[in-house]
Amino acid sequence: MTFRFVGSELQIGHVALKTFGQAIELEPAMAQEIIAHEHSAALLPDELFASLGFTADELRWCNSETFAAKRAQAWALLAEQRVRLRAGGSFEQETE
Amino acid sequence: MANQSPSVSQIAFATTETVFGTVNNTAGAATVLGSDAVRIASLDTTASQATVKRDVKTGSLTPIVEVASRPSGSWSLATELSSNGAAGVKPDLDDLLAASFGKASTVLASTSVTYALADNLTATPAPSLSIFNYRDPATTLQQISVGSVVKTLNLSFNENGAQKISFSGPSKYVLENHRFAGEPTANKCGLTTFPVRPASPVYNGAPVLGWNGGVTIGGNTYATLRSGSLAVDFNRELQADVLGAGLAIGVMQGERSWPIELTLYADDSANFQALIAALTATVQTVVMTIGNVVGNIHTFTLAGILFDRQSMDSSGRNWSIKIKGKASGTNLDEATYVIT
Repeated sequence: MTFRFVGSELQIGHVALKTFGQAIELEPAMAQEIIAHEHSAALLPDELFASLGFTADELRWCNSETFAAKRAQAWALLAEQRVRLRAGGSFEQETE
Repeated sequence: MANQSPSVSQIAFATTETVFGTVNNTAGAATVLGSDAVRIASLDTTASQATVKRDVKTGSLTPIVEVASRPSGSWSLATELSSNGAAGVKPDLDDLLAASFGKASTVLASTSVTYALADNLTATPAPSLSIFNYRDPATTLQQISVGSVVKTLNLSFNENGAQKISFSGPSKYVLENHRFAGEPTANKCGLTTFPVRPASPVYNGAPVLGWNGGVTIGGNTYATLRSGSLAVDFNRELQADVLGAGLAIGVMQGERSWPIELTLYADDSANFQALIAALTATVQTVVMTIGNVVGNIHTFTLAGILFDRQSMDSSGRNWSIKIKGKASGTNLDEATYVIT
């Protein structure tokens, strides 16, 4: 399953993510564990990330007001996602 | 040939214990996940158990073998100050910070994580941690500092790169894989097997950079701060002197101490003159902010500080002053720490 990174830096084992919007493939069970954790990894399913409509320029520079607004939306989705996963929900529910 | 372990090959995990001195577990198997990882600059988990000389005469000048004293432990961990990277999500250091302040952090989703103080004088004891200290390869010495409480928290900030934070304190016991099989049940701290390191440690967040910060003292903003330090003593120790228990049975606490030291350039501004005039005369609140990237802004608020008179510092091209004081309050209000 493809996820997109919406934090500042993330390392999972020997894989490091340092770019906002960077994609990573994870097994759903692994993703569930690290996203539902108290120190939630800042990852959104690809479809959910796409729904925010980041432009290439926004992702390239990461400093515009529109980027900041969309990043805030991403973090709000991240919080909702974590609550849902901790309650036993799945990724499929949020991308339906 | 026997394997040795490179000193950089060290991975740490920290979990908040549900019961003091017991590693969280399911049927004796430790509950520790990859996401419990804490990125470290250094971690020492020290098993302490000295041997003690016996006070008896044997009729010989040959010394009689000594006996073992009560076991205990200590730990210290240093790392970079960092957030999760996403606002309103607990940082990897959350367990350590919550154990420092005395209670769980408060999360405002996608906005902030706040650490406020708790005395834990009744019902809920001061939080304790299990700190897993793994080295590679897995066959070398592995340790778990169990019943670890935070006694000191040190933070230094300056203009140079990543900012450092460190913690230390006593621990009930340091479990070791090489000794585990022979340990009495009580010393196994709830475990039936020594846990294997989680395969994929997860680290969240980038370090905060020191030059992106500022300070207000008594409501005035000072743009000339060069460096500072915070050296908190939570004054916790373990109750390890009762008969009938081979290990510590709980945590004792005394009055906290929040000394802060700041170094600022001296100038002739009205704010600077006001600062000098206020030393030893006016109780002030210091708001120290480190970082300027949303999701990685760290704000320490220390209240009730009556600064000593300054000392002059000529270590730079221009004169600076050093001021020292301690936070105070009336009830749990001397300090907060917020990540936004």
